[in-house]
Amino acid sequence: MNVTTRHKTPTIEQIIQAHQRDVWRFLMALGCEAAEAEDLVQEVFVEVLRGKFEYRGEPETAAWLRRAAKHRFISTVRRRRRAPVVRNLDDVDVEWAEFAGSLDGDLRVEFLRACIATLPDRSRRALELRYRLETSREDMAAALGMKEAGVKTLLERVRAVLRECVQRRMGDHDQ
Amino acid sequence: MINEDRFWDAAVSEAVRDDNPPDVTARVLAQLADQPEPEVDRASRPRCRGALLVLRFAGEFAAVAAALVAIGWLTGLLHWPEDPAPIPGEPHDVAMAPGSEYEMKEGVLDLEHGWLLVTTGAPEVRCADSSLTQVDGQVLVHAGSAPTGEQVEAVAGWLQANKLETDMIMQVKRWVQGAGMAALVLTGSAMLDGQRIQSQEEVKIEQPRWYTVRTVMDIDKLPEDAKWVRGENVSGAHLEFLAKRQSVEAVDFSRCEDLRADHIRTLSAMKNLKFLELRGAEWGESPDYSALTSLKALKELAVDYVPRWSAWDLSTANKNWDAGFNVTDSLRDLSARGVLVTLGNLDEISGKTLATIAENVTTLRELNLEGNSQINDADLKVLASHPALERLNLEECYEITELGLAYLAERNRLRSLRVSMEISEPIVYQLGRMTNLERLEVPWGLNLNGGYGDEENYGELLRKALTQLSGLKNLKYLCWYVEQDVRPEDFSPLAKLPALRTLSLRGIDKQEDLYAWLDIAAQVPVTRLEIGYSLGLFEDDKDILDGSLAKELAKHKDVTSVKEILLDTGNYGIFADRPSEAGALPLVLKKFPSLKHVTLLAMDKEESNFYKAYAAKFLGDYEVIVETKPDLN
Repeated sequence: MNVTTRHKTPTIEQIIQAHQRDVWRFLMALGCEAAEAEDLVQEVFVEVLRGKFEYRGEPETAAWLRRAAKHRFISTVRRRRRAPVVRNLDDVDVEWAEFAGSLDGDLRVEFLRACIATLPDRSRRALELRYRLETSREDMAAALGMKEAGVKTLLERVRAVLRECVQRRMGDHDQ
Repeated sequence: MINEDRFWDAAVSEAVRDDNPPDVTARVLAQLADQPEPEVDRASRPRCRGALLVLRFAGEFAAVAAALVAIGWLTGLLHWPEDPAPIPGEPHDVAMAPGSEYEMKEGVLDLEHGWLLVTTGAPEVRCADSSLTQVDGQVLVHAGSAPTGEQVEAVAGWLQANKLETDMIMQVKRWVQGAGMAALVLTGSAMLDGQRIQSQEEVKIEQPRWYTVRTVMDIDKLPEDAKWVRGENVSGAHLEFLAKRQSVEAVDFSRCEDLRADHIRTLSAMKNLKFLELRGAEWGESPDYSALTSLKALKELAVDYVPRWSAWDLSTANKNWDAGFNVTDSLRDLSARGVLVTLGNLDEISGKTLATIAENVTTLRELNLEGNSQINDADLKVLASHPALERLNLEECYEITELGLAYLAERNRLRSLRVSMEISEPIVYQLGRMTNLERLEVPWGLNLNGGYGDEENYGELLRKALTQLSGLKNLKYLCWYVEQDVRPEDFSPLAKLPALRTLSLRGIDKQEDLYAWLDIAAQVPVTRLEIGYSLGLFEDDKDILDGSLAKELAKHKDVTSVKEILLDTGNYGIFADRPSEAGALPLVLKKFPSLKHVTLLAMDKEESNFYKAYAAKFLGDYEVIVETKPDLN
């Protein structure tokens, strides 16, 4: 395995450390389960670093890894006859580059947690039911005393509020 | 960004669940340490993944075949749509008029009755005792004797679609009578029953030339006779300036921003405006589709059914936005006037809405339902009987089964279909019944019942599946997915498709596939190749520099049929700062001795600029077009 570059040469360990979180988040966004994403992250790095990889800078390395991750994901989905949750698989890695590039992933999650803490009780409860407990919409409606359509609207509104909150914090952070 | 909501959803999920991204460093290092670098013996591998280079001739100055009834213009978009009918002058096609019949026997096209439009590179055409060969240009063929006026009128629509004037066709003196067929040489020459025949005069066929505008300055500098104008990174307001151009017949402002009804209304001053493309455009105010009905000269319209508007909110979404934005009413009015309609952004509509669209828009020619998880087989039954629908995109419509495809196959109206699902034998069977298809895209290829459990027989099963497509006598374009370990000969059934001219292969990943895709291209003698998913395809500097790549390439047959290749390398298919500056691409392209046109599909502007510089330096032997990938939904 050769890792060469004209510029500063990071070690293999540094490359993994620098990119593994982004690759994992990308796979999770594509629809992987957490354990599956972890396995695929490992496979992606082994595949890329074992091959004729040349370090050409951070953005190129990130793009290369995402593309390899996408291909691995596609193979997994096809093998397991599962429908992917994202669309436009051709360019989803490019879309992710734009999304991830707008804010560091760790910072986004940190801001989200801070924003979630400011939400009203019912909104936080809805998020818990949806994401932590993976409750069905029907059961969520019963738990929250709402109709199913209302649950959908509530979740959409909460997500929109969280995005705005994160973007505000981004603005404050940049200043 | 189509998936932005999904990305945010994933981020919220991580935040709520307190997930922590794993640290795989130790495991990866351990795995890398245990395994030696693998030797790749390319020459002896019996089964390789396939990889193909595809060239496509497209862009501002390119002519890509599309025969719109009203306009006859062409577009060079990779994904969708591409009108499969041939354009006169394109050197790689045989087009058949409605009601005609022919049979392909051992590489010879046997015309039983009717008409053919034959262009350069076509196989031998026989009819009764006549033989037409060596077509170098374009020849119109009629079985038997020269056609009567009535026979010409019967195919007037087809002739018009191919930009051929019926008056000229009716002139008996232009026809050369052979033993069993009559031929009219439109351009160039051919051999009819052993005698050379030539065009009596060069028939000028207009090739569309698209001008790209980005600023008002660009619009002002358009030539006086500019007919086809495409906006790139433009605002809807630029239409106000373009409206002064009376010569313009076709406007493509897809993905423009800040579109407003007044912008569209200004186009009513363009007396010659026949075609308008607005899919992907983002409205800057409450959308108003009624403005489209003010365009009296319009013959063809492409627009999103669900308008894109940044101010969409839940309250709007819950209202009857269709009525509020005058969508269906306007489309119905346009349809009643005979305007051909193409609709996009339909991935969230219900079957009920789809039925309403089908009922009201009787001139609906094309539908893109990609990503729609609501449309089911019963909805396809409705679409199957639509009088005008020819092109359908069902990618990622996971509620569709072979039953839905059976409805489509039964009515057999489609000319173009894109489908991705578990493509099992029953699915391929239905695809094989759609004998009017000219374009078929199966971007995920064969996915057998039982998944990958039958890898040993996969090649055989693939051959069997592809054989089921042998009835597709009009198929000109096929997109398929190359599985791991597929052998080139597994694609050999495709060689029997008489009209096939473009093969698009996806799933090609690594440099090791290079040799397999050369061999696949040799199995299926098309004139145009396309390739996608080519990660790291041209990476092997060492092999380039020490000559071993050239030696390995020499072991594989040249692919003489291919004249055009489109290469969608994704990011970093060709590098600038590598020891071998040219990379492998020029060497690879030498395996296609008839190659004339190369299209490089860039992901973004930066890559586009890089490719242009690269092409100028290393691909001087070819006519190269660099395009940036569109993302029309």
